[in-house]
Amino acid sequence: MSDPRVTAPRDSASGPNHADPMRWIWRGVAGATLVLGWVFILWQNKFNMTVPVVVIGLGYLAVVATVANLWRVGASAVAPEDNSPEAWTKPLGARGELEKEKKTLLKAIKEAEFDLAMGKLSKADSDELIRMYRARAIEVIKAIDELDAGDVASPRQRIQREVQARLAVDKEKPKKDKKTARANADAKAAEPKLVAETKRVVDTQPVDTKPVDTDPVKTESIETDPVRTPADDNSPEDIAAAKATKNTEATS
Amino acid sequence: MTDHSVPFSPIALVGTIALLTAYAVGAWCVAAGIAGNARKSRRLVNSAVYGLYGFTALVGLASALIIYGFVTHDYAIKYVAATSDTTMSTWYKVTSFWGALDGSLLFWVLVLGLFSTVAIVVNVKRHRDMIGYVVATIMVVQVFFLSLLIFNNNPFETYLTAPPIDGRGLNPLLQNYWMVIHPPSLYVGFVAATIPFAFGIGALASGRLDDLWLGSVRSWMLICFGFLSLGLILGGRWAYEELGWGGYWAWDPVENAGFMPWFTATAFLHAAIIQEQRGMMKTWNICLVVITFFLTIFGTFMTRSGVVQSVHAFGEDNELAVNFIVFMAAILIVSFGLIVHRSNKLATKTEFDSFYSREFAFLLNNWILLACAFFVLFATMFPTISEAIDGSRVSVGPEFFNKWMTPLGLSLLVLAGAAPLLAWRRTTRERLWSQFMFPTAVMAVTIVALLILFPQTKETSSVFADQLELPISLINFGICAFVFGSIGQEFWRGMLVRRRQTGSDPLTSLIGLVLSKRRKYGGYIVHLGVAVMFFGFAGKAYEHMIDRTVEVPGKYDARTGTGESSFAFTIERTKENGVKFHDPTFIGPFSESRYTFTYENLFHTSDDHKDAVTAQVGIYDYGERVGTVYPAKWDYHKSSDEQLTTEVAIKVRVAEDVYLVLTGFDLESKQANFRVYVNPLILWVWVGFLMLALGTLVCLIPQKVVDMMQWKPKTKLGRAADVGIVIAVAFSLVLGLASQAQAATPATGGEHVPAGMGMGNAGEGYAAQNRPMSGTSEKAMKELICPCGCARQDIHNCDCKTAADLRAKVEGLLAGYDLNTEQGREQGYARVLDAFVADYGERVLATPRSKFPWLLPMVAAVGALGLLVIVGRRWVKRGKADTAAAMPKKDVVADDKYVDKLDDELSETD
Repeated sequence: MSDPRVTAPRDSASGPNHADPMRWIWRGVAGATLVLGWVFILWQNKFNMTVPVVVIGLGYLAVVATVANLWRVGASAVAPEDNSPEAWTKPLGARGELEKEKKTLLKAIKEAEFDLAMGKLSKADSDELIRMYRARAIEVIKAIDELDAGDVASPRQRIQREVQARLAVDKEKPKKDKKTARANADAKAAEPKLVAETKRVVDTQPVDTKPVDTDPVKTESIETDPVRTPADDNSPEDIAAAKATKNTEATS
Repeated sequence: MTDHSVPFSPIALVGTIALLTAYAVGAWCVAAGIAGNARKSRRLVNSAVYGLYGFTALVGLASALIIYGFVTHDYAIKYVAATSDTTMSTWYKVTSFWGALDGSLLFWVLVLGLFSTVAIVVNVKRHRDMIGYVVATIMVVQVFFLSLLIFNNNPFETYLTAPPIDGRGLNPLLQNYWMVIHPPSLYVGFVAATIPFAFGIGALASGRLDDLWLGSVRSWMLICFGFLSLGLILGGRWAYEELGWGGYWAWDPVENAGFMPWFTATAFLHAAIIQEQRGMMKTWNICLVVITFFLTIFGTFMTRSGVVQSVHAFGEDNELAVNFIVFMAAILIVSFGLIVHRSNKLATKTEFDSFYSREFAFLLNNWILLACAFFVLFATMFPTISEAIDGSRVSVGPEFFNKWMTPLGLSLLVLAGAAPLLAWRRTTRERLWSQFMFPTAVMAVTIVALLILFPQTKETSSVFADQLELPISLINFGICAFVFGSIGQEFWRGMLVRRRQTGSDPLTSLIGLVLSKRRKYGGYIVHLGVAVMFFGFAGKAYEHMIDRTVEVPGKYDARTGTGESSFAFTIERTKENGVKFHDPTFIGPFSESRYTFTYENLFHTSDDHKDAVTAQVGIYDYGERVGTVYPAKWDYHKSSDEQLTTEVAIKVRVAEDVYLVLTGFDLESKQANFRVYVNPLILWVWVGFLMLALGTLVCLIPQKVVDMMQWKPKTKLGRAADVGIVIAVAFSLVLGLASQAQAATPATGGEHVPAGMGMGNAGEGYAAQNRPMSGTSEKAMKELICPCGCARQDIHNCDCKTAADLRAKVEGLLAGYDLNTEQGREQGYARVLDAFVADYGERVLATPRSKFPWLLPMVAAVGALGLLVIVGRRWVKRGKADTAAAMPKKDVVADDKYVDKLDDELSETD
């Protein structure tokens, strides 16, 4: 009997869409089984398309789907673990996030212009909003251009910049309760550790890492809402998550 | 050795195996999903995802098998025998699948399986970081329902002894085409709420609470909203056609079960826009998702556990009730536990720049919608609560609901018109004036015109309490006009702006406007649909009803306006109530003596599964024949009770429906008793719903479809064809709906119906006996619920013998009072209610006398509003301060290259 790790159809439920040469064969086998079964049911009923025949045909479809999927349940469970970063991170990546934010900002500017033309916003209010959105949109376009040109900062610079940004945000964040205060204190305590660790990460990684940053924590730190502050998405847990991601990167 | 006396059904065996396997697969999905996501094991998560697909396939197999059992008459299966018979049409055999409790649970699991499969296929890559938790949450719900199926209500259970030769047949009330599509649509609405809930829990568990999550959830909630709306309106249409009481909504607990999540889903759809635009209210939104899901489960619990009494409920089942209670407690504990756990990530700074902003209007809308949901919940459960407290089951009739829900609904309608006129962040005073001037003028003109042309619109009805009387219909018409003005202005101005921007013709600009801002203008279409529905609701105040007994069928002489079998539609109003009186000389759409009916024939027919007695009635409008209708009574041979079903005949007209019910007949003498309702404006309730559905669909149009529509240049002829198709589709929908409301055509066939059905000893129909002789007796009769148990109707409307006797009792009690004086009317009314409470207890009253049900919603609503105002002031104050601090003092000097680039991008943005 063949090893399911070898013969299991490559995962297409999630994760990267790797080309699997076997998948069309599997689909063909499933399709042929289905069609042959339906022909058999019809033949048994002398090709009379009655309601019971239709229902039993649907039942047969369910049987084939059950077998195919339950087999994949087992095959996936024993398949080798997919440790690639794409297995868990958001597929958009840094550029995707920036493009999304740019689109949101462009729409927001258009909306403000539209509201002005409709007479809902006064000129002063509209100018104020548009000025704010345009400033942020220009920053985003610049960032996209930098990514496209590959003119990104080195990993060390990026990580240091991010740590500084987060610490600055944490300082600004109002201390709502003891829990938050304690969490902030933990984050501060973790700061030297994190910097040391990032240093280690940078030292162990080649300088020419891929320009598109797919780290979910980092991509989330880019503000997606033009009006919001970045404080919402930068909790101590994010810092811990950043640390964990760095570790994963280092070990992989 | 096999005992051949024990029935064996291979369908039942395979079906049970399929359910048991699905149960095991479901349990694996829960474990693998949670463990996979928590341990970041992609293989386990994938296994859970495929498990979900496999689960759906297994449930599909079980469903196919039970349907196969129905269509092949496998009466060894108890459920098949209990809900179908050989004479039923194939279509009703298939729909018997969800005709009773066991099958309806399996149907629920199937629909959720199909929905969740679609949701996971669409989102598995987009939300790969939380999909394990999402799958696990969905499967927890599935496993719960499946456990009910397997351990409590297995639809594949077989007889242990010889099975019956034929089944008992489906409940006659369910053998109606609206009932074929109403439950699936409501189920889909309920089930669709599970998907946002699963994504919400997934986001909470994984900590990924960004806007990506919100985008997916909003679409599914919109689907939930659309199907709940469809289910509710179809349920209303079914009640209107099948129950024969002239109305479409009676605040029945089962109707309310679908209405409660509708309120919270609507609240979420609005609050989600605030989060999207301003990044606020994350916690509130996730709470709304949880509450909406909770209410769908609570609604299912209400209808299936017997905790409330309803014509639609599945009956009492204590074991099921306990299971549901445990599950609901688990939902609340886990969901709110996770919300508390993630409170630091959910915390956002809530601030408003002004009360005159769209976000604050949305917040107010959320408050009203939540108030509606919790009021309906409270009032629906009040009989159960009162029984638990002091042992007496107090009734809460439609009157009580109407007194509260009417003002709340009208407040929402005001916001539906006002919110689109407000800008985000703030609207200055001058802008307010320019935006509100036209809609307010439309409202004012409408009110004045109605007061002059239709003075009967001044009629008042009580809101909140008996003492507070307002001209609700007039207010309703006025607010509807305000919404039409407001939304019309939005479309008009938007079209003009678009035209200036694109230089295209008005129609293209309008279509382009709607397609480029689908969510906004789709939402406006929904608002417009709601206003049209409210326009239809307003007609309820002018509904007329009469009961007539006609001795023999005969002919009507249209020339002279006479005939021995004819009766005119005349509403008798007295001056006794003062405000209720309207000028009898006035002739208008709601005026008297407009319709004349001729009773022309009564015939008895029969087919394989029912007998039918059908009356033929001609309808004349001002002497001109406008149609022939066939109201009927059907007697199903397999019906477990002796109750005949009512087949109403409806003549649909633009301004009103003429609705005939055959309430009694005597086959030997051909004497017949009719009840006639004239329901003004009711057509607009259904038309409004179609608009609501259209708006929802517009909101759901994907960008890809819009891009596809825009790719080729269109000629004028092509555009005209497109518009023609749109108009034709909309027109066909309206026509299709109207055509469904045609009169029942007579059936064909034999002998069975007992003579004298529904007629009293005196030869007169019960419905026509002891009709109210004064306004006071009518008011009292409407306040008293008929104790016969027939669908919580009041004794004024109920057509049974008990109601007829009690009407006589009311008249007897009022006999000693002078009803020409205010004091006499008040004392007489109080005397009647006291006497009935003494005889039957408080459950006979449609409006509870106890102060508790009045005070609690009032205190809660006013308290919440006060809180909103206080907190709102703080948020506004904070918002103003933060905006002032955050704004740059001067323009940021930017690189010209990027400014140009931004301008280029803007020119390409629609």
